[in-house]
Amino acid sequence: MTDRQGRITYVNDRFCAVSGYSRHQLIGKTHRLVNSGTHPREFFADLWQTVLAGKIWKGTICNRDRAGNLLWLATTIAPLRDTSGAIVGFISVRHDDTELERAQQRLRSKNAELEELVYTVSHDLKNPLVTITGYITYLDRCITSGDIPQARAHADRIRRASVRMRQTIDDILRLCRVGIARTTLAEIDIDPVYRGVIEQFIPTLTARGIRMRTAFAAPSLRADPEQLAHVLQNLIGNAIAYGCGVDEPTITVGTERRGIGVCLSVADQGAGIDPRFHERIFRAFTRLHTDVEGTGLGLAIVRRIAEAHGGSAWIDSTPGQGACFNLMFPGLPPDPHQTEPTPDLSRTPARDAGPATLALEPRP
Amino acid sequence: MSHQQEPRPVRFLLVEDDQDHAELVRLALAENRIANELDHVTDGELALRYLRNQPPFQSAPRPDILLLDLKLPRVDGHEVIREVKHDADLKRLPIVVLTTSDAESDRVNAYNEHVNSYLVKPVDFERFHEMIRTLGLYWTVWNQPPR
Repeated sequence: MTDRQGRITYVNDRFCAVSGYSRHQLIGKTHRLVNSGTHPREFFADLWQTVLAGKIWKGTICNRDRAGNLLWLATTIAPLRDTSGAIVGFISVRHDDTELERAQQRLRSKNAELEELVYTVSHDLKNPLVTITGYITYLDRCITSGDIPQARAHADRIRRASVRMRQTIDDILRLCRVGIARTTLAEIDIDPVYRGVIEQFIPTLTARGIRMRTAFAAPSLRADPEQLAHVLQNLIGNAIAYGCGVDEPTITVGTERRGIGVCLSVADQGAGIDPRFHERIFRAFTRLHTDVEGTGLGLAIVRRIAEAHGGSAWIDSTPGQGACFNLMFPGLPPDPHQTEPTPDLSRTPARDAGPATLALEPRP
Repeated sequence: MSHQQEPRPVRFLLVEDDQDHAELVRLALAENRIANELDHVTDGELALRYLRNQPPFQSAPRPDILLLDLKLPRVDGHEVIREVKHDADLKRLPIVVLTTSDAESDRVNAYNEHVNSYLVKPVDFERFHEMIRTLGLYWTVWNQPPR
C-alpha cells in the first residue's frame, strides 16, 4: 500500500522476501527504490494517469531486487478512497512472474536462433542446387557435342553436390533431433562404444598410418548411448581429416573423472586451431577449411549433444601443437523436462552403441 | 574513325569457397564475352592478403571489382567488407556481394558495412547466366570508377 504520492505505507512479508529489503527499508520510500530502469518514462506516466483517474491498472513491471537481480512482477494497482470518495492512496497486488518472463525470453532467443538457422539452412541447401542446375546445362551441351570426358567431369560435380545436399539434410535432422528427442542416460562402458565407432575408420587409419591410443581412466560414464557414439565418430572423423598432417600421426581418445562427472577428450597432433576460432567452430555452418568436404554442422551437433547432457564442449589448442576436443558429461540430468534419468544403472550392452549413420568420413 | 568506347578489360577478384561456383562464374563471364581478368581466392583471409599484397600475393595486381561470397571459412564476407571499407587505401574498391543468402540480416549488415551492391545467385541457370552478363556489362562498360 502507498499514499497518494506513491510512498510505501505497508508491505507484506512476501514483498520483503521477494525484493530483499526489510520492512523499515521500504516504508516511506517510493517504488523508485526497486526501479530497474527497464521501462520508459511513459510507462509509469500511463500507470499514474490510470490510477489517479480512479481506474485499475494492470501490467507487468520489471523491478530490481536488493541484490540487483531483475524481477518481473505481474501487478494490479487499485486506488484507495476515503469516505468522501477522494483517492488517498493505492493498493498494489503483485505476483512474481520472473520465471515466466525468463522462459519467454529463452523462447524469444530460441526463436531468433531458429530463424537464423532457417536462413542458413536455405543457404547451404541452395549452394549445391546452384551447382547442380548450372552443370546440368553444361552436361547437356557436352552430350550434344559428344564431349564425353567433359560430360563425365560435369556429372561428377553434380554427384558431389547432391551428396553434399544429402549430408547437409542428414546433419540438420540430427541437430534438430538432439534438441527435441529425449536424451536417455545410462551408465555406459566407453571401450565397447569406442571399438564400435573405430571399426568404420580402420581402412582409412591403416591407409594413412594413423595410430590410435586410448586412455580410459574413467571406464564408464552416464550418457545417451547413441549420442555418445555419434560424438566419438564425429571427433575422430575430424581428427583424421584435420589433425593428421604430421609424421607418425596419433589420435588419443581418453576419459577422466572430474567431480561426479566424466570428461571425454579426443586429441590429435596436427596443425591445431588459432584461438580466435575456438568458439566459432562450434557454431552451425561454420567451416575453417575448404579442401575437406564437410557440412559445417559436425561440431554444432557435438556441442548440442553435450548441452543435452547438461555438460559442455570446448577445444584446447595451441597452433602447431595439435587440438584437443573435450566434452564434459556431468552425470546428472540437466533438466527434468528434457532428460529422463534411467533408474536402472545396469550396463548398457555394447550393441546398443553401434555406429550412427551420419557420413562424416574424410575423403580418401 | 571516331573513338568508340571500347570495354576495357576489368580485373575481378572472386572470393568464393565453392570451386564449382567459381567455375560457373568464370564460364558465364567468358560465354558472355565480358572482357575481364578473373582471379579467385577461397576465403576472406586470403582475399585480404591478396588486396594488401601480403604473402603469397606480393605481386598481385589491384582488382577493379571484388566479387564476394558471404559465407566463407576463417574470415567471412562481412569481415572482408568491414576491413576493406575501413582501409584508406582500399575503401574505394567496389564490392559486389554474390551469395546464395537472401537473409534480411545479411543484406542489412552488408549495406551498413557500405557494400556497393548485393546480388543473390539465382538457382535457375538461365537467370544466373543473365545476372553474370548484366553484372559484367554494368561494371565493365557503364560504371565509371574514380581514376
